Amino acid sequence: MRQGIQPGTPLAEAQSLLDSAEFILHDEQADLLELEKLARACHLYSPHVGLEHSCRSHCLVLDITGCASLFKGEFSLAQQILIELMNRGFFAHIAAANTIGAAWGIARHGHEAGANRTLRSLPVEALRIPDQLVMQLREFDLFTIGQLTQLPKDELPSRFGSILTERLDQMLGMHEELIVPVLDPKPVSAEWSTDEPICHRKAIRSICTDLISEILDNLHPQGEGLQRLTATLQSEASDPVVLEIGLTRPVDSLPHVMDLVDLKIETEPIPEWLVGIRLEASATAPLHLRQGTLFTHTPDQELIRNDDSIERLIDRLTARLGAEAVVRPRLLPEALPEKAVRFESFSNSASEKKTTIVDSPGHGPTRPLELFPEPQPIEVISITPDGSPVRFYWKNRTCEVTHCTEPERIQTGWWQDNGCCRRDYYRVETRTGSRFWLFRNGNTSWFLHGVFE
Amino acid sequence: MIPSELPYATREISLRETTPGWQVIKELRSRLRRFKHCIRARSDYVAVVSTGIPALDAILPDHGLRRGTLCEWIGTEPGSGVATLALSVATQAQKKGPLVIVDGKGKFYPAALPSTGVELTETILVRPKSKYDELFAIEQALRCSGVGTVLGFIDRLRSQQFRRLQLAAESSTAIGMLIRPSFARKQNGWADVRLLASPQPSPPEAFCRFVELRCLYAKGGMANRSIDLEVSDETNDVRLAAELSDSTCVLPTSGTEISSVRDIRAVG
Repeated sequence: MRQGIQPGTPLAEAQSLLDSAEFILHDEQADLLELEKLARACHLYSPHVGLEHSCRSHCLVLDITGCASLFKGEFSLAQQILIELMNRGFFAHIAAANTIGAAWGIARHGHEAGANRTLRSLPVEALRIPDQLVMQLREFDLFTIGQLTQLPKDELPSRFGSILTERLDQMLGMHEELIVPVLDPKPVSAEWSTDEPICHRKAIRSICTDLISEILDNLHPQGEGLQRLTATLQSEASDPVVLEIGLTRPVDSLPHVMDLVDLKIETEPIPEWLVGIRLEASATAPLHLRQGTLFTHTPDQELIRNDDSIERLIDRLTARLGAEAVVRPRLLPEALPEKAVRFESFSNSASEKKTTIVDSPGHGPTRPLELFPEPQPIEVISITPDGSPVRFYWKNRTCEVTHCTEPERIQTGWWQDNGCCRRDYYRVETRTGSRFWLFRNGNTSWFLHGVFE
Repeated sequence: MIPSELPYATREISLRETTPGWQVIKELRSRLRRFKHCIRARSDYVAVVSTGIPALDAILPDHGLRRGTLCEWIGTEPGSGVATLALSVATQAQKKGPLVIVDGKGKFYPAALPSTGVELTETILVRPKSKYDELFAIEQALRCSGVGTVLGFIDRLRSQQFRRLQLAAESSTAIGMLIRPSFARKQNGWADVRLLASPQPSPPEAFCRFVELRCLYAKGGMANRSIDLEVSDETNDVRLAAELSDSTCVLPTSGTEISSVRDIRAVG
């Protein structure tokens, strides 16, 4: 701009004005694809995001009806979108209005309206009309929308075409305009089928290698990696079998994905006589968005770990043992010991925010390292009916209690799922020094719930 | 590397030609031992992790646990406190990478972890459903270079399986800790360190538990050395139990039998 280069300046003239610059051929299709990516990213702010194609320069349109309150108002919402776009390397003009036409006009030409911030003061270019029509209007000394609205509406189509009145009505909200939403692209998939059924695992593996390679090749140009793979195995003899392979972060490495497929094939029952295999990238994510590590580091910790070795380990264990077997323990503020821990798989860490989690290390009530899934009923002898235990019998042996703590009462309300629960927990030490966690349920029965291993 | 190895290989062939087979094997074994010893000696400064218990470090030959090795923790009976001690040591290695706990029995209770000093956010819990999957998980975790410690609760372990775990540990830098029941004491293992934890009765009104930790085997060190440790009930801090109470303590009145050093402390 400072060198005098404006949109529409011929290339030769621009090169003569600024010979040090690099000139790249404009690729309209690539621009459109990039804008569609931005539209999908904006789904964070609105469920309906579309593109405005009517003019040469496209723009994003968001239906923010009911969304603004979630972001502390329209201004704050606009600010957050602006920051998100800036983080992605874009500078944007944002306007919020009652109609698409008004928002478009204000965003592009609002700064030309001067102090008079009304739609009528906007220039005619703000109507999303072709340049040729703008020139035609200027020949008639029609520069602002206000001037147009003063003219008899019925005569405008015959002089300037129907597009002018249509755009004017759309801006003023007298003509309905719909947002055509940008939808997520169809999942990338690859398929193989045959008339000669196969059953050998090596053959299945070989076909899977080709199909995954094809999927990764298709994802690569979009800069995306595979995050979940769904395999459908069709058999002549039985119903189709669906296998799911999840990854902790998007990957584009064929050996790693094949490693997980191998582990899955080893453990899952594969039907015989396969006649078709369909692999689908059911979840993908941009490769540049991959998280650094799964764990937070404090400055005093030595970071000798490899970049993604932990993530690969979790992927391998999850593929072999299932997502529910590879978990991150979370402590919950629940009184009942069996409900005080939640096991969270690494794939759905998003649910972390839904409940209060108490992970900060502290010295709360002492708990055993081994807790039986179901409390084991035991026979206990105590001196008084509601007194502390003196002796108990467990696994065909008698344990003499030499030390016992004061009871810790754990009681839940009647509104809980399993009704009211009242337990008096005792930490006991036997004559040999072993420690156990017993409780009395009400005033009647005794249970062994844990062992201080 | 290859040119320097060539004369060595040539010498090997000549040795094989002139000496009987068993002697060649013996000689090769001896060289392998020396070679391994040299490697261990050179990597001392990075490969050993302190247990965080100076008294335990003192009875271990490397003054800590060597990375890439297995350590067997055997509890003499249920409730011995062996897992508490193992986790206390694991917190030291957790600074080098996450702790992986493989719990095949589904009894491990993570609510007890914060009091042992283990960072929950740096912990991966694996809950396999079968014995085979349990060994698979331990082996995979041991092979992972980013893992600090792998803790597994294993009852029965065949020698070949044990050897596989040892090789997996050697291929990486993780410390493998296997918590095992008392009958494992009779079995030969491939762990570099074997520790036996026996609970000791604690004196009345003591806010701690006592555990005797005996080093049954330590590669390259003296075995059968033991220490008495006390674990605080409140903070789970582990320290060496005092052998004698203060000399000014009040001795029991006449007629009371003193059976052990601990009786004196209790009175004092």
